[in-house]
Amino acid sequence: MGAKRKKKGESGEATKYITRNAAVKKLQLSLKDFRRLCILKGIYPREPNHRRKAQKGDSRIKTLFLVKDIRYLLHEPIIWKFRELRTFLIKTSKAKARKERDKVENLYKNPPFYRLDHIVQERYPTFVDALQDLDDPLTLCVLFSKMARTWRIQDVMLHICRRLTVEFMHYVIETQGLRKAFISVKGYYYQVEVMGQTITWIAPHPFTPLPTTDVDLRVMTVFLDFYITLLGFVNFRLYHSLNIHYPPKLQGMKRGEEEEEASESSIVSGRVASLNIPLQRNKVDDNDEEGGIDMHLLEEDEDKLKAAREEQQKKKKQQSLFKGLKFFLNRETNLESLTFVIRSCMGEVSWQSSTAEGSTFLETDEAITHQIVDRPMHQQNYLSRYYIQPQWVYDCVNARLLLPVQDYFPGVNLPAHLSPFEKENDLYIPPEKKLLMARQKGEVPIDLPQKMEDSDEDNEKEVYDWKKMKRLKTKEFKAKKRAMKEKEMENEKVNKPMEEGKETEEVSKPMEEGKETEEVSKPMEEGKETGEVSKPMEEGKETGKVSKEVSKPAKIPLRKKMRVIRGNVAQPKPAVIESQEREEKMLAVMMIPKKKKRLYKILNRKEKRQTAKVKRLTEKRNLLEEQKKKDKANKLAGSVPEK
Amino acid sequence: MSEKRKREEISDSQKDILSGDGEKVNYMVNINTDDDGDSSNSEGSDIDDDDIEDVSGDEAEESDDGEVDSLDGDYTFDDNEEEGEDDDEEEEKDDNEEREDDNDDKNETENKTKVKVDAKGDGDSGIDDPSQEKLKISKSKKNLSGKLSGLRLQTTKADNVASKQENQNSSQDLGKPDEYAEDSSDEEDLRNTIGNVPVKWYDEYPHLGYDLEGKQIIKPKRGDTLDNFLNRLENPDFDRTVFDKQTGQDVRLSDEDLATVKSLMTNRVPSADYDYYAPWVDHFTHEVMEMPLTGRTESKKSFVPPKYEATYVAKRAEQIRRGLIQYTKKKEERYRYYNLWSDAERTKRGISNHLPAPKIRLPGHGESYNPPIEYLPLGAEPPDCLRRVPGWKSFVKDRWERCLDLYCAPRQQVMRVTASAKDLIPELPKPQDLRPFPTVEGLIFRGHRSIIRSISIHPLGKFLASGSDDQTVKIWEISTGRCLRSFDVEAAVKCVAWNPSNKLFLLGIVLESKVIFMNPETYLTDKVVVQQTNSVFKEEPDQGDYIQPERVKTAVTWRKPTGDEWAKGYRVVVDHFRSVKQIVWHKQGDYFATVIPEGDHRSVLMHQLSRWRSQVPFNKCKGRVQTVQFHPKLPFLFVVTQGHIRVYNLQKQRMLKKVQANSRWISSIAIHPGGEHFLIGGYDRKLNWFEMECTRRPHLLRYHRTAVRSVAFHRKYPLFASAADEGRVIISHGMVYNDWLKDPFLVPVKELKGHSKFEDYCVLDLTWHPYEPYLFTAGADSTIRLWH
Repeated sequence: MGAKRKKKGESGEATKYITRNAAVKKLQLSLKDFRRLCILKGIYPREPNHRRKAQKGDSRIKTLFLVKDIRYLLHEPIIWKFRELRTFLIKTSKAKARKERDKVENLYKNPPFYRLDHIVQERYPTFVDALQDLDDPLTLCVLFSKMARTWRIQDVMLHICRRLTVEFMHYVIETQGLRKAFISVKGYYYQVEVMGQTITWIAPHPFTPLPTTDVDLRVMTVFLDFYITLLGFVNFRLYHSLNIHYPPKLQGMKRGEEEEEASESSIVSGRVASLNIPLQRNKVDDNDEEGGIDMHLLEEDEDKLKAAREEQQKKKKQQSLFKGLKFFLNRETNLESLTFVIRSCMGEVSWQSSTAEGSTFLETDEAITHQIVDRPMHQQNYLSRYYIQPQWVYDCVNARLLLPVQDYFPGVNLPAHLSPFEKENDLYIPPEKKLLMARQKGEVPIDLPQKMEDSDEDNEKEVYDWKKMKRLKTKEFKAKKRAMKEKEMENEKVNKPMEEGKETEEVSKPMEEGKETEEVSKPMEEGKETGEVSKPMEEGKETGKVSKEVSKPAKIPLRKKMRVIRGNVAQPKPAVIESQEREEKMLAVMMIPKKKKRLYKILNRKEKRQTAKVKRLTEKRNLLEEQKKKDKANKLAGSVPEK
Repeated sequence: MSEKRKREEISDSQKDILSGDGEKVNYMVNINTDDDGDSSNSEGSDIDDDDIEDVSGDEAEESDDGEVDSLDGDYTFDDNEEEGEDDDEEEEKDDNEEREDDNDDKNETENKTKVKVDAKGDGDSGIDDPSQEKLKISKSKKNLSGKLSGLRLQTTKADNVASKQENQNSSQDLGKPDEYAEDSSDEEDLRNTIGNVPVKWYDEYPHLGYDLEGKQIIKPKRGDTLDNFLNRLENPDFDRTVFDKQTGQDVRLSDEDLATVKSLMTNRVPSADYDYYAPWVDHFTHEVMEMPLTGRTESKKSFVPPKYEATYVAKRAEQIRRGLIQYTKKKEERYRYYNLWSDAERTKRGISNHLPAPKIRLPGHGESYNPPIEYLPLGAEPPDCLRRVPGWKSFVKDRWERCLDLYCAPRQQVMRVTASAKDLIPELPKPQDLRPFPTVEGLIFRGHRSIIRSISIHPLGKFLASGSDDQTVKIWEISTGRCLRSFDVEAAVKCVAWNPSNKLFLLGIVLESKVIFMNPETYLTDKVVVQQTNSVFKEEPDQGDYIQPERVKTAVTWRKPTGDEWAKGYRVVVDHFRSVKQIVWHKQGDYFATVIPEGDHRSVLMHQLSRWRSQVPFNKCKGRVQTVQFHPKLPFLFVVTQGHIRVYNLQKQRMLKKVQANSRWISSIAIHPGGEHFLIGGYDRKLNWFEMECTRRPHLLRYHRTAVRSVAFHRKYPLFASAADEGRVIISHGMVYNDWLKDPFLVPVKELKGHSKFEDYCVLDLTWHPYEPYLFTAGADSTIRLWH
């Protein structure tokens, strides 16, 4: 008896996947409920490795789920809740149609609902898992906390969202966890570090975000439902890890007030929501948690340890960046964002008590160091403080430095607001970023204001210096060259009689030449590798040295005396070298095996695109700056005759 | 008197008042008194009367109180009367519906009530001066009317003039209190006689209406909004001042007015004096009579609990049981938070092989609200301050799309390449280290007028022969590039090949179906060799008893050239039955092979030059033969068909090896001088390096972009070259090791470009110099180039 014949679709890829329709059928749910279930349970379709095999010969694109995942959904208790909800809807609609008012009332007294605690635990087995996946929950909750109430979005939801986000921000303030803050066109990006995990979220600009018609809010509310549950548990855990009351209580509160504060409305828009008052702790524990560095991992690597330590110090500096500074916010600024950013760097904040709740000191306070202003100021009432634009705060946090305030005075053209998320190894670095990096390294004094005129002058100076250097170098180079020439002359004198006497074969000559050039070009390439090719000085030096070495074996016995003679080596031009290198590269590329060739092409294209982008940006920048200069010159020229 | 009738009467009286008739007013008063009397009459007598009747009794009492009050406050009789009537109506206000039924009359009465109440209030306030009091009364009247007009009242009011008169009157009456001085019944409707018409009809006119004499009542002057604003700031009573549309004046509401308004708004009895907690008069006694009115026995029905009650209870019980009605259960909270991750036990993640969603893309400099200028589109300006940054319109949509991605987008684990393109380039030795090899174009041999199909170098390396489509064969001097001789032949030359022997100076030429052996002697050639060659071919070799087989006979005929031909340099002519493509010499120079692609089983022919004999080595056709090649050391023949290479041992007359070429259509073959390797160029752009011992896995070189035309190994140096239709000749270093396990070391070292294209052809043939690293290429552009 032979082995049983294999049938199609009974093993392998085909049994691993199930189409969406089949899954819905298997779970006996409506498509809507299935979607809701997928959202809540975090199940998503998978891309098969081989679509045709996975779909049993069908090559149309279908949504495929893992059979395992669907099997896992089968025993979910929430499915029963969905069914209950459905029957509830049927019952109520029936009762409504029959005008049985008391029955409807009775039904509405106890509508079926489900809780998602067990799902949160399933999806995030450990607390760290939950923290890692907190970006989307925070972003969505922040959005909903700012949205207007509609029939689709319940009031309760909005309040809970607001409460949870405020609580989370309070936690960040308490731990000084803010790392990056960025104002983009789309909104405010915050990056915080919570228990070693980086969490980024986006808050919209302070306007009520309006849903467009193509947005399905039902889907979003399902997500929101889960996120609210998740965020609540996370907040609870975070607060308990710090020994803070949950729900939060503010410091210096009497008992009567406490209850008041705990009420929903005060959290939504009260002193708690103002973020300006520290929270009350159960116990005061002063043991500083030392070292986030994992010593085990870094023991062997000295450099890594050093880098990590430096990073740690920088972090500490950032955490207490605004310590001792007092900020007063004008009413036109974004109070919530600024308060959050400043307070998470240990600054003190206040505003006019009529603007919003939670102000702690008055505008007249002489200890105020900075007043944040976002309108043109014609008079500055207090000389003891700086009047600055809000961007300063964000830039300082990102730079981890107190930047010079002169650039940020009201009415001044602001320096560009740079993204802290841009990778440092990116090919194109705008000049502002270069300046900032220099400041961070301490190469440029921090107090020096960054103004276009100044920077231009600096550049000019640099250029001038460089030219000077070049001039010097070329001088040296010329002197050496002269010396060499003299020597060559001598050599030629010696060589000439010899060549005349010698009978050289036509054929062998080119070969020798080739050999010579070959040996010379080697050090040239070495020079290129170290990146010193562009300087003619060093090239000359090296080739000079080499020529000495080369000349030794090339000596030719003379009739009269045995002498070492320096040969004349032809110096290849840089263009020649470049073309040679290009050719070498081309030849090497030819030898890439076929398997990698495609990848190479893709990567190459990508790199080309990047370089093109860099080129484009630098060119544009230069052009714009030139134009600016021209405009300025024109202005000056125009203004002089007028006067 | 029934209530309905009473009301009718009142409304009648109202109409009279509206008509402004003085007599009717009196009548009204009469009615009122009458009414009072009626109610007082009814008070004690009829127990079975309805509620209203009953209340009217109370109201009568109250009216008495009112009288007392009015006496305190130095009030007039008529007022009292009115007040009585008011109170009457006041009680009725308990029932809202009734009130709505007849708005007019009630409002009227209310108006009066207010007057009364006001008076009372003033009296209470303890102002002694009667004149002042009167003033106040008049004022309060005005107030009242004003206020009530706000409540959609339709009463007639005294105009300015009237009120002035009144003031005068009151001032006159300072001394003696005159009962009738303040007869409000007259005064009441003196003011505006427009009747029950909307006041807005007079909006366009300077007057409000007409007084009793028919004169226009001019609208009083009103301040503008600024005055109004100032008034609001300065006047402490501003919030209780009301504008009366009918008189066009501001009226200040007294405390009592306010109280009344308040109670009206809350649907209570307007009068503050109304006693809500008056003792209850029980008209229907609950006590069981000792003597029942009827003597009938009770029915059974009254003792048996009704059935519907039982069903009702059962239904409710069922509902409770099923949880439809829950009285005690507390509503559960939707979101309740506790320490979820408290237990150390780690639960398994439910989803298998979880792929976390990629994080949100973080913004770069370009997305900043105030980016560096180069990131902005040309001409655009960033907002000058943060305050001006608009909201992002599609913020909600972005979030929605993210949600969509999270639950709809299929996920797949993709390996991301972190390498850069540079890392993928193999590290090869520098070409400079692998010298010598040709790098530059040395000479160009010009002279042909058409495509050069084939070139061949004399084994001593001094002469180059070339055959072209212009029906010439040319002999060139290599060192100078000079054309030494040019022979006109009858047809286009397909192939030229020098005899490899040192003793002969002989060039094989292929012209269609002819193979000609020529002695292209020049003034540079060695005379001895030339003479020797001529002498060899002077006479036909002796065939002896050899009889040519039939299949050879039909395929090949050897002949001596004619006189002319001899003069041209022809020494032997071999005619083939079909057009020949190629001639290949064995290394000794005696044997040669010709390839006839259309020759079927006779497509490869072996010939012996010294004996003028030919052979057909194969009986069967194994595909269209592309080319043949002799092994450089052993008596092997490589026969190349489209997809295969067959290696035959000529001595043993056996096939040694059949190699499946890694190419779809082989164009050319070159055998390494060592004999252990061979190279194959294909029309499918591939170049394969085979090892004889391991032909399964050739080294594939894919560096040509178009069909490879010809390949060649250098005899001395580890070099090989390949030419393709794209015009590039690529020279590679191909080092072969004695160690069999070691792979050959293949590195492309130079790319040569120079030939131009002609009808998609470029370089058609290439050969190496026998001992120098020079390369010769024959191009379709009718030039031959030397590269050194």
